Order: sequence, then C-alpha cells, then structure tokens
Amino acid sequence: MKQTENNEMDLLLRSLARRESRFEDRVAEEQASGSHLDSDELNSYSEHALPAATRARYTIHLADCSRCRKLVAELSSVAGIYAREHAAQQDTPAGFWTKIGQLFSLPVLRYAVPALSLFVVVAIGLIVFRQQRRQELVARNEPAAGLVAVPEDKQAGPPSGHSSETMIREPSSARSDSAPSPNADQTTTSERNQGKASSSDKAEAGSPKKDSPAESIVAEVAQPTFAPEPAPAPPAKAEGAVADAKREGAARTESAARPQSAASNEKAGDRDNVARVEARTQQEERERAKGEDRQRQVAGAPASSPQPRRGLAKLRTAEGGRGDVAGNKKADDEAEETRSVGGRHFRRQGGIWVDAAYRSGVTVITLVRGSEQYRALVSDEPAIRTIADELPGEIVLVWKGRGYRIR
Amino acid sequence: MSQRPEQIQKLLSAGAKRLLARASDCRSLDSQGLEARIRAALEKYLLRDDEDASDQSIAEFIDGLQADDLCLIVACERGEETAWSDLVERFTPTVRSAARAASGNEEGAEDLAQSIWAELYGLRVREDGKPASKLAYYSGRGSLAGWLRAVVAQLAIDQHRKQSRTIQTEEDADFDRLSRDGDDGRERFLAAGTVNPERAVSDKLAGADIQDALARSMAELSAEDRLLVKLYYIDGLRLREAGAVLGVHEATASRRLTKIHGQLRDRVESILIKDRGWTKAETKRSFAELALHLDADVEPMLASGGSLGEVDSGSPKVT
Repeated sequence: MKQTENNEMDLLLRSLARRESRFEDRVAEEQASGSHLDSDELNSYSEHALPAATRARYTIHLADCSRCRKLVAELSSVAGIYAREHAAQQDTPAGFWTKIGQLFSLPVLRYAVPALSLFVVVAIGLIVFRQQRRQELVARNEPAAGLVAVPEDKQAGPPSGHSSETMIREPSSARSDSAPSPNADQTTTSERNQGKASSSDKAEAGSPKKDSPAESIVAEVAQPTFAPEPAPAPPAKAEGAVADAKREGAARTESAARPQSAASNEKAGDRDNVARVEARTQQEERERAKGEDRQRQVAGAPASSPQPRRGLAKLRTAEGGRGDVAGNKKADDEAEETRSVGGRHFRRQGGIWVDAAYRSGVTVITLVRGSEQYRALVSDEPAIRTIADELPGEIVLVWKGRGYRIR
Repeated sequence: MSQRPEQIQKLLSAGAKRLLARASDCRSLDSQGLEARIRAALEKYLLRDDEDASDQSIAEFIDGLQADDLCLIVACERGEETAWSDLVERFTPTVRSAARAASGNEEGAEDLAQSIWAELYGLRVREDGKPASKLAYYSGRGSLAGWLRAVVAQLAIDQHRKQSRTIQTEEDADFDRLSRDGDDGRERFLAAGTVNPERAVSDKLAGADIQDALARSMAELSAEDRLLVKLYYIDGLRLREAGAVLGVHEATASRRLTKIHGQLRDRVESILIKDRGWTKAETKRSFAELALHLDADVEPMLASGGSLGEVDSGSPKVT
C-alpha cells in the first residue's frame, strides 16, 4: 500500500471517528449498566489473564462499547506500569548466585561460547605467528656450555680435528641457514681447511686471520681448543708478530692452494709433516715473543677500560695458555653466553652483550633506551631495535662502521 | 456426560488444595471453603465459552488464580479482622491513587476512597441478610490491586453519571451544543475551502458514499482490528497504549494498523464499484479529493480548538 493511500485512509478514519465518538457516547449512556463488563472482567482483560475464547468475547464488546474500552485502556496502562514495577522488585533481591546463573544461562551462552572460542583461536594464532616471526629474526640462542666444556677436553688430551671442526661449523651453518652466500661457502671451506690444518699445523689455527666478523669468531671460538698455545696478539703490537703474520699468510696461501682431494693429500703427506714440524717450532718462538709483548701491554693498560673486552678475553686466554689453568677457567666462566640476533653474534662479557664485530678502535656512541636519540636511531635502523629488544641490559653494537653502546 | 460434573468437582478439589499449598498465607482456610469461589470463576471465564474444556485446561486455569489475593478476600468475607487489617494496610495506597486519578481533586478522591472501602466492607445488606460486599465479585483471575483500581474507576463513572443527571455543567452544555451542530459546523468548514457550489455538492455526495462504505467496511473487520482502530482513532490512545490493551508491542500495533488501512481501502473500493457503480479511476480520484477536503477541514478545527489530540496528518507512527 502506497504512503499516500495510507494517509488518505488515515484522514478518512479520523473523520469517521469524530462522528462515531459522539454516537458511541450516546449509545453508551443509553446502554444498561448490566451489559457492561464488571470490574473483575475489566481487570482480567487488562492483565491478559483470560482464556482465549473469553477474551475474544470481551474484545467484541470492547470494540463497540466506548465506556468499557476507556476503562480497559486506563487499567491497561496502569497494569503495564505495575507489571514493570513488579518485575523490577523481583529482579532486585536476586542474589549473587542468581546473577551468576543468569550469566551462564543458555540464551547467554548461545552467543558467548562461539564468541569466546573465536577469540581463543585468534589469540593462539597470533601468539604462534609472533613466535614464528621471532624465530626468523633470532637465528639461535647458543648456550656457552659446549664452549666451556672444550677446555676440559683440551686439558685431558691433545685437541682433535673433529672437535674443532664441529665448533667452527656451528656459527657458519647458522649464518648460512638464514642467508646462504658464496662467501659463507668459502668461509666454511677455509675453516674446514683450517680445522684440518689445526690437527696437523697449529700455527695456522692461531694466526690472526680477521678478514670478516665470522672468521674472527671462528678464530676466537677455536682458540680454547688450542689451550696449550697462547692466543695470537694484535698484529700491530710487535714486530715479531708482523713477521709471523707474513709467514702465516704464506703458509695459508700454501694450504689454500693445497689440493682438496685425499689422494693429493697423501702425495703431499711427507711435505706436510716437515712443514708441521717447522711451523710448530716457529709457533713456539713466536709465542714467546708475543707473551712478552702482552705482559708489557697488560701492565700499561687501564684496569677499568670498558672497550678492550675482546682483547681482555684474548689476554686471559693467553694467560691460560701459559699454564694458568685457574685463570683459564675463570675466563671461560665469564664468557657465559653467546647469542646470535638478527644475523649478528654477541657475547656476554661482564653483563654486557658485545658485538663480535666490535674492535677496540671503533668510536662508540652511548645511547639510553627510550631516549630521543635511541628512538631516532631505531626508527632509521629497525634491526637495531630487534637486537636491543632481544638482548636485555647493556649492548655494544657495531652498525655500519659505527659503534653504539645501548644502555 | 453424567461423569463430567464429578470430574470437574475432582479437579476443583485438587485445584483448591494446590492453591492453598501455593499461598504464602492461607489464613486458616480449607479447600472446601474455596471450591465455591473457584467454581464460580471457572464457569464464568472458562466453561461458559468452552463447555468441553479439557482437564488440563481446567487445572491450568485454577493454577493461574492469584492464591494469596484470593485467600485474603475470602478471609475478609468471613469477617476475619486480621485479614481486613491486612487488606486495608496493603491496599490503601492503591485505592487512594486510583481515586485521585479518577476524581481529579484531592477532596473528591478522599470521598471516593471512603466510598470504596464502604462498598468493600458491605455496609448495605442483601436480601439474605448478609452484607452486600463487592468482595464477592473478585474471582482471583487478575490481581487484587488491579481489581481494586477497576472498582474505583467504575464507581467514579457511576458517581459522575448520577451527578450529571441532576446538574448539567456549562461544559456539558457546550459539548451538547457542539454535538448538535457538529455536522453543520463541519459543512461550514468545508464551505470555507470550496469555491464551486456544484462541485461542493458533488464532493459531498461522493464523500457521503465513501463514509458510508467505510463504516460498512469497519463493521466487517475482526473484533480485535476494530478495537485497535477505535482505541487509536476514537479514544485517541497512542500506539503504545493501544498495544498495551491488546497485549502487543507498539511496533506490532503500528504494522497491524497499516495493514487495516489496506484492507479497509480495498473493501471500500469494492463496495463503491459493486454497489454504487463507480469506476476504479473515480474511486481513486474521490479518495484523493475527499482526503484533501478533510485535510483542509482539520485546520479550521485546529484554529477553533477542536479535538487536536486525535488529529495529525499522515499515517500512524510509533510514538
């Protein structure tokens, strides 16, 4: 039905109602009082307390009797108010358990249970997703137990090529998992060669080969394996060291140029044995010279210097190499933990996470977490934020040639 | 069939016992004392319209009675002072409130309330010597408070009618004059908006036909639809109030009223085409013109202080 037609009927009915109302009033006046509904009937009708058939009979009367209709209308409006008040009174004394019961009633649970299930599923999904992302960012959390255990083996007997090879492979394999590259393969190959050489030629393993951070870590990790031998000193510290480095470079070139096949190795076996003996002799002489230099260096260096941690660790290793077993253990205890975050390796030293790529000559900028400078840095380099979030406490980090100390 | 009264009696006895068990205060009544009262209610409200009501229907009817209220009233009828005290204490505010609403002034309300208590107590004496108390008419089907409000409203109307027979107030005289002059007055309003007398006569005739067909169509509506139309258009109730009478939500009442408009229009058109020989186009045009005149009719009525409450343009909307 159109709206205009509806309005027309509305106006017509209003017009009819004006005539009817006067007519009905007169009829109601003339009707005998006995034909009207009594109080009980009016009240029962208003409260909808009548059987259907009886109610229909009264409805017919009400449709034609304005007097009863008006009374019913009045009583219905009041009955509605009283019904609401009665309902409110019934609701008011409802106890705690009643409310709890209503909370877990079927109509409520009908909607609450699916909603809750959906929420739980979404929450679990989010947690799993975030953990996966975190695993992608954090390659590995390396415990220091394996590294600490090595010196004990080393004390018990001579180092084996297998143990050093295993330790060397770990960081490179972790890195190659995240970003395989030809360089990584080369490094692995060279490390493998170095590991092989370490069993035969210890001079090569102790050489200051620091072309890349990974290699430096390899060198550092491999050092405890050769505990009887002192760690190599910085190349610029002594003239003897420079000469040794040259010789070592020549030896490495020689070993790199060495054929990889076993048959070639067997053919060159005699020559290797000779070279090993010579290298060992040279190494002993070189270490003696380095030890003297380091003693001089340690005596002149400040005790509380924050920067030379790497050097300090080497010195401690070197001290251990002179037969100080107690000092060696102490140094190993301090190197409690090593972690790889965002493709970078950190070692915990004195409560500070130090980037493996850190060198003593790098200029360090100190930043406080949450400071404006820190926020500016992490906004430019989000990877630093990831590292800072993963590593609690103080961090010394080398990023794009600059050193950052984050507190 | 002979077993039916016995069956009903059994149901009554059992129902009376259940009722006493449900009551928080049975006031030392026994089931036999209640049976007569329950039987009267049963015959009035159930068996009169449904003689073959099932046992379940009878049992449900009895279980639907207001146990506490019925026990209180029966105890009052027996003259128990405690019951009377309780009745007066609990329901004096209800009676006073209803009397105030019915009389309109405080003094009249107080008189009306006193009259109610006198009627309930039964100051008059019946032919059998017992007091003619209105308490005998309470069935227990509805609440006692609602029944008392209905009694007050009925008594207020009776009192007003008695007074109006003897004293015709100035307002009543005005109303009567308006009733007498109603049709003339409306014609005057219609004439004010009409230019062509011939057209006015034609419109008047067409309007009369439509009004007549509308009245016939109204009579053919179901009782409940007719009640809704009268509650809304004649009594001037809002949709919420009209819905409360019918026990439906105002939105339902609004939808039902719109549906009734459609039914009435179809029925009126059918009557005009079949009985009066109108064409479809004529009925449509006449509806529109009559509505236009009626719409114009409303404005003078508004200006002269007519029945504003009943008139608003447009279809019924939920208020």
